[in-house]
Amino acid sequence: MFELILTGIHNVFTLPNLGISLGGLLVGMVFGALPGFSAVMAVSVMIPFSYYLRPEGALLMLSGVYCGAIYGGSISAVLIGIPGTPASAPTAMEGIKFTRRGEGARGLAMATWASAFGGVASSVALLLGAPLLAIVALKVGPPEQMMIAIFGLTIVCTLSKGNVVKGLMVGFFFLTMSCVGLDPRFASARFTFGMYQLTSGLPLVPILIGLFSFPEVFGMLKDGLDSQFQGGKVGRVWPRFDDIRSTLWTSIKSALLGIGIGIVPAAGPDIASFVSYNSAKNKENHENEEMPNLDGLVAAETANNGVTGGSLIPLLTLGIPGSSVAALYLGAMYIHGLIPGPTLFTKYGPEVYTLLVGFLVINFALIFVGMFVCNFSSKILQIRRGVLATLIAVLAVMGAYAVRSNLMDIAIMFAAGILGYIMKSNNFPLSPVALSMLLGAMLEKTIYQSLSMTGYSILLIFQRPLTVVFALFVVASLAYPQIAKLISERRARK
Amino acid sequence: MKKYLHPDIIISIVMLCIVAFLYANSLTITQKAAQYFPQVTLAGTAVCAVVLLVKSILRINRDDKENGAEERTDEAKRANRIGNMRILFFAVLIVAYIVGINLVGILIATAIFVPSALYMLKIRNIWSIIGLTVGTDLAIYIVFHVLLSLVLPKGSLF
Repeated sequence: MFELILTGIHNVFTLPNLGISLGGLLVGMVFGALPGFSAVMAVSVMIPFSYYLRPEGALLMLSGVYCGAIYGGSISAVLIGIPGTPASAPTAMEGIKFTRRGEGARGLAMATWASAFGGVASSVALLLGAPLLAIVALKVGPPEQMMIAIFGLTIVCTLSKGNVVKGLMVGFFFLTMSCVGLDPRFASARFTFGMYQLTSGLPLVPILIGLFSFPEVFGMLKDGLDSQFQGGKVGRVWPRFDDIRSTLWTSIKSALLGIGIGIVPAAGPDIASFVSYNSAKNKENHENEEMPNLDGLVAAETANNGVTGGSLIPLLTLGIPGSSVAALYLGAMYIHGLIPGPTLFTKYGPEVYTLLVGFLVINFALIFVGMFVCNFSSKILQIRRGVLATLIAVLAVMGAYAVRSNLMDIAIMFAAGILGYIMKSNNFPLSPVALSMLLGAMLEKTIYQSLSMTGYSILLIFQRPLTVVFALFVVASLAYPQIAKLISERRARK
Repeated sequence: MKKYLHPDIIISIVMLCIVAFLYANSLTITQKAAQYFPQVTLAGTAVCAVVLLVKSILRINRDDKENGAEERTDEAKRANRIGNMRILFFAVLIVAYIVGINLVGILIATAIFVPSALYMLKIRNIWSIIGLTVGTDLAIYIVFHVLLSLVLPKGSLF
């Protein structure tokens, strides 16, 4: 194995492969920063270009695009409050608070640092622990996936601090909205009202774009028309040592969480960032909701980049694509004659270890390329609000249209924007919308699969040890805020 | 002092109406088993809406007793009104933009929307307006059409 790692290092540090990796990273960042363009789209658009490359070069380019796109979503999330990808939604919630306080550079720098940290950790896990961790992934079935979905939904309660009823109402309502389209078992049309455009369901990305961008645009216009940041310069985007030190433990925990969630099929960076963000938010008792939560930002970004390496583990070792991006990787590998599975590491050792080492190098490079990109992109805060609002509106419209080339998605995006503004003005939390829309379909499908597996005796799922572990996570997630509150009250009394 | 209906009351009533409508619609789903999940989530929404309604009514009664509603200054009210009008006009412009995309396509609609929005938002430098309009259209064309091979909407009139 050591020899193969050395071969991988040798292959990665050739000029063409290094150039391809960094080029892919840069392209991925641009894709990720554009609202409406997810990592899946970025990788799928770049696959045709990989035909012209050697297998290891092709995989390095796709890895660069993948990591860059997951990170790139945080740039627009921090600067203008629009999550470039669904996984950046928690980053948008905290990042925009930094920008509003004139600390956009700090938010960007820490988002970049956290992304690189999560990415490097997941690369190490991919390089060293792939065969070991794949054993766990093999045991994850519908009951475990159902528990993961429930675990994700319990976050609604804690994300809606002080507005639990409103948060739950939004959560339940958008679980219903996640049912729009054809039902997963019988393909019966639900809530489509005879419109064929709705048969594939409500489009998630346009809804998220509208929901997170227009409340910001309208809020921006309400406050006045001068530039957002009056200090002249946004400042140099470089992480502070104090910030890194204070969030180090959060980074480590979130990276591990991201890797773990990445390994589980169907649970991707979106779920990882929300779960991790929630656990970091619980840690700090934030009274003022307008104050940015550095731990929350770092947790979300570390976890979503932590997923990148983790999601490739079941693909490379078992041939199971755990996510849409992994499925695209699978296609690219087949095109180049690499068949994923247990024999991949022995049959195509040099190519695979070039990918594994390259993944690590790409994530190291992310911090420098990211800072370079951020130093340019942070200039947008000096633009007058009128100009910014107009450009965001155009970008949101294009982002919504780009997902499926469907004009109806633009109208849905704007309707979600109006709804988001009304919700925000009346203290309804926005994050349960994203969670419910992301997890609704997965929850319903896995409930029915679990019921079928157990002959409609749902309690039988608890005979599976992993289900019990995930169920304990659910209980802990619900109980932890109450226990923490009791402990802090008791401490305050003393 | 003027009495206002608390927005939470209006929202919970609207939500209950939506839930009732969707529940009735869920009964028309052909497969009975496909009705269960949305009906359970609708029931959850209804329970939350009722709790919010009751809480809001109780809070209004308490606020009335305490008479603690804070009065805003005339200047703050005026700033709020101007801000709301600005949002309303901008929203109307965006609706016109979306309709325009359907009729004349994205490039022409953007060429009309960008200068109109900029003028409405007090950007009066003619060169800035021209530069931003041309730049936005060019960026859309190059990034989305040339680089990403996206078919841009041409509009029903062409």
